[in-house]
Amino acid sequence: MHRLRVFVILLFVCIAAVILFPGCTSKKPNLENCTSIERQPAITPDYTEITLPPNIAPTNFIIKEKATAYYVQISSENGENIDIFSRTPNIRIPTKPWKKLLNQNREKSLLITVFIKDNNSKWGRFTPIENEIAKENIETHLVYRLMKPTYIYWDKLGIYQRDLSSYDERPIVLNRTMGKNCINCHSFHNYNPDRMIFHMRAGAVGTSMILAYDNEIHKVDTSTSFNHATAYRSWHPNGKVIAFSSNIVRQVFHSVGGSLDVYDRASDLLLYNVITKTITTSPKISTSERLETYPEWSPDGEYLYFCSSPGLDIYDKDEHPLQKMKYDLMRISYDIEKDLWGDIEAVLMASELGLSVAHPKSSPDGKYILFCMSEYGNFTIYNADCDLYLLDTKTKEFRKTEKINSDQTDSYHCWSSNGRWVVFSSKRQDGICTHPYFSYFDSNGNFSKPFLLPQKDPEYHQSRVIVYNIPEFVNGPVKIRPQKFIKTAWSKEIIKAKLDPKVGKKSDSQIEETPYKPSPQN
Amino acid sequence: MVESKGEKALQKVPNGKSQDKIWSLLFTTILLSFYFIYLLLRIEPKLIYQSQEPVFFFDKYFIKEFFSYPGGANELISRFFSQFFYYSWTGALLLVLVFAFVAWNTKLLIRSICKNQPILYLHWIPSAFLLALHSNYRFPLVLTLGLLWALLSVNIYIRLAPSNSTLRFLSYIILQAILYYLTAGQAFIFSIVIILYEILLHRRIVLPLLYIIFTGLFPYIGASTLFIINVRDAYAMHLMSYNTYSLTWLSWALYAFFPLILPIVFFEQKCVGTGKKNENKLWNKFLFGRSIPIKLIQGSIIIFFVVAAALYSYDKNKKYFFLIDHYARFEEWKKVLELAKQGLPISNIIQYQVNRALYHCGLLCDKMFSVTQLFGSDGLFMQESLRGPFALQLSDVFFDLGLINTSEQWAYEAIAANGNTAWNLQRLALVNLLKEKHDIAAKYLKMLQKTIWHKKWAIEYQKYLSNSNDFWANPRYQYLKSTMPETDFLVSSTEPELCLEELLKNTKNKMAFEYFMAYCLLDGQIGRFTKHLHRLNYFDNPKIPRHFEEAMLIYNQLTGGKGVTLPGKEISEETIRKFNNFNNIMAKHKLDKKAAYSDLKKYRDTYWFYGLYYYKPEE
Repeated sequence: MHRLRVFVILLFVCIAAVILFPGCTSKKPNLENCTSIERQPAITPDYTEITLPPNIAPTNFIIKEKATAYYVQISSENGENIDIFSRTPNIRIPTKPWKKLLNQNREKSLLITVFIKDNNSKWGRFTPIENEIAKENIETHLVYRLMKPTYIYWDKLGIYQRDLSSYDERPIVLNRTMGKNCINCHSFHNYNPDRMIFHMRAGAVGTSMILAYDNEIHKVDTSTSFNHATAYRSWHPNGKVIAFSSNIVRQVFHSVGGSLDVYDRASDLLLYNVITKTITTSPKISTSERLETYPEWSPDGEYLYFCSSPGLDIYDKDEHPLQKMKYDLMRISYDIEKDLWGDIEAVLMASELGLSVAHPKSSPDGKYILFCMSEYGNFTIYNADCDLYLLDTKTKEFRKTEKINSDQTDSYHCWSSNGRWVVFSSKRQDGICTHPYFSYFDSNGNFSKPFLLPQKDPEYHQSRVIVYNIPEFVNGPVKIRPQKFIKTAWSKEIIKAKLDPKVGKKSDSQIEETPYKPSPQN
Repeated sequence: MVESKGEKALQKVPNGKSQDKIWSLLFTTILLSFYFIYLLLRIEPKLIYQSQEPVFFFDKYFIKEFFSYPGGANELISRFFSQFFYYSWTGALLLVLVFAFVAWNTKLLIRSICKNQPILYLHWIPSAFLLALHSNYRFPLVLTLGLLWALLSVNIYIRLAPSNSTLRFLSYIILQAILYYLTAGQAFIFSIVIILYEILLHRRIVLPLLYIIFTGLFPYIGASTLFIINVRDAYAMHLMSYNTYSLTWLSWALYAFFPLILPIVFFEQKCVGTGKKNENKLWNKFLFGRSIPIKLIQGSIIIFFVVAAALYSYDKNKKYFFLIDHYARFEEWKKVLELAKQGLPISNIIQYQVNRALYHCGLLCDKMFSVTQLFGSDGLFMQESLRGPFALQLSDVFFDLGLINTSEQWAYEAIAANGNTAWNLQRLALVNLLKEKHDIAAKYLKMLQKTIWHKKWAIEYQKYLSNSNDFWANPRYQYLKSTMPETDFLVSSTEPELCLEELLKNTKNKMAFEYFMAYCLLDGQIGRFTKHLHRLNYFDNPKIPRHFEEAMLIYNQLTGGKGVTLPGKEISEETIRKFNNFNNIMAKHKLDKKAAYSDLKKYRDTYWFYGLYYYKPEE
């Protein structure tokens, strides 16, 4: 009995010790006589020489230097330093002092000084890492889809929202609750979390679009006698019209290099009016002779930018056309009040450069378009050569944004509402998983070195094989409860989009066969 | 107090209780030993692992995921315990322990409703159902553990719930909530048993009614507030099905045992208690008697029930299916072929694995038709509809062929189908080591380090990340590297065999050559076969493989003697003689293949026989 009591007491002491003295503490070691190491420490994720938003969560990191103990000092001009002592190289920065320090030092440098203790108990001090703190905040939330790398079959996937000022990640919708369907292409009107769409394909709930519009949620069938279910999208600034593409997608598999490629066999652009529930289009953007995709409204709503390539009929039948498919960046004016389309203008003839454009995204002030360019096709996420480029809308000059590109795929991106931040998907970590990276865009049109989405556990991204899809900024959390989305998804009430009488039935419309399939174990 | 006749009849002789205990212990030992031996030798739990590939990692993110929905916690526990199916003996031991716990809980339940248990070994009946259920290799452990938690909760409630109605109600609500969170729909088993218990034994009406209302509300409230889950799933999850497994009548019968035993035992006790039944009545003696012959009869009946369950549920074909798959996974090719000799169930997957075994034993081109090739060329790459569910198996053949990208693709399809199973991750780690993509290989190896059985392998392979010379020193990887295509070509996801023609351009890729030639033979494309026959000289074949000779003879016959020859190699006289005999028999029967069948049977291991009786030309 006595032994048991001793054991219980010891157990409690141990538990208390673990709780009260975790790996990282603010205990300051004696750093007198520490030697100087004339280089910066290796840390991962790479949070060096970057520009940070003042409202970002602490950028926890791992020190890739062998030592028996670690001490990190984070400082700036104003406010109190943050001191972290750790027995492990895993550095976790306390949130409150971090937020305070960053807020007090907008437009100033942030110094991270790393000290390590060697086997002889001597401390060494590395050259400090110098980061910048921007003046402008980043959006409070980021919405993305999480899934495993996927070829033909998909399994579990979900759309999640992440509070960028903390590590809080919450699901918005999960496909396991909706008959294991495919959910994709989430989008928000003007960063508004109350106006959202996403598509559902296959699975038990069928193919349709979920439209959350202020306080209502609807299930919409956007297919008509003219088009299949809609895909890539862009909200008109007025919030009443959404431009869509409707694509017939195919996959090809390579024996060498990247395993997979996706291409469109056919694609058109359409407009869906949220109020009148009508689909309309113009032959100018929905011709069978060309493939039109990735619509993007200019911030003033006067132009619709899109990518366009000749239809597949022009290619030699004996050879797969994929690597010859080059998309150009086009735009067409549109008078939304009068429903009048202008003429198509070439913005960037990438094909003449032997390249292909995808995902044009206008900066909020309309001065720039950030887009992807690769050797061929438009499904850039599988093209390792895909990089981001910046186009000046006035001069039509464009350049590769060297600072943010890598030797792996750098693709889907989104501007923040103040135009000072971009988030983009990059496979730079391992060539398979896409992760969101952030970069500051200064008033001179230059990007800063990008940094990875911070996580509480700095090993998080390195230990999980997970793909972050379509990172989209939003101003605040999506407050619609996932249960409401589930109810709508299973609801038999469905709004059937009407086809504008001016638009005829498409003669070459075929039954959509998607190459993607639900898990065979579903 | 006056004792009824019935109760008197059940009074035991001195030492009756201890005798019962001894008998019970003896019976338990015999039964559990039987279960263990039966499971170990007949069912072979390693095949349950083969069939289900349960995923479990000692990883906080992996574990955390299971706490976000009802039933997740039990699923996590089951996934952990299912790892023990990796070895047959640990799997058998686990199942025996689970069966024993279920029986123990059943015994506690029966004892709480009656003083004298009808049939001393009645509580072992659920274990017979469980034996039958676990004889199905797809049956998930999660359903058995869910039942176990439900029974445990029943016993906790019966023993600990206070008699005060409010406190009793609170106890039920707390237990029900915990159990629902733990096991999802299986919590209804607990509810039904408790509701019946309250009505029958405590003559309560209001409390059970409240229980019914709250039991019905719990999943709805859960799905509307706490959990991100569909309302229908909130009720049915883990009760009607688990993933792809849908409950059979056996499961429902097992579930029904517990609510049914309550009224049956209760009324039986009532009858005995009021003395309505005479102690001399035969069935009364049989149920409650404790004499040695009665105990033997009671025990024999339970044993009979167990044996009947074992006989009913054992599926030899399924066992052979997973056994072949298991041997193929561990590349025990000779064992695959030994099993094949015993005559196997008709299955495309089995055919596919046997053909792989033939290749790896160097027999594909000589003995392929010793096995009836019922599936034609699908025997090499499997039918399209099977590729998704058996994606890792398909990935295997591409891996062997050196088509590493396609092997990688199908490993990912396998992950979509079965999750991050250790074998899927192993394949992806190897694929990326071969592709020299060390960053992603490191991730998979790190994941494997968090498994129970593949940790050692992962640590061993992790060293290759820093020193790839050691990796390439391995002859197998060296060979695979030499067979990998150097220039890109597109691989059809629906007709993967088309890639063989591209692969055999690499003169080191022996498997591509043999598979291509086998494909041509199986698909009746002799012209294509002869076109590539000269490639035989790239490999160390001292003579022409038998099936090649057979095909050459047919080709010669079809082309009127202008057939194909191989410089330096002759068709053996034996094959020519057999071919002439074959033709003679056909001529004797005036080319009537039905009539010639019995005479030609001796040539059933030849390409000619396959061509005549099994080859189905596409329309």
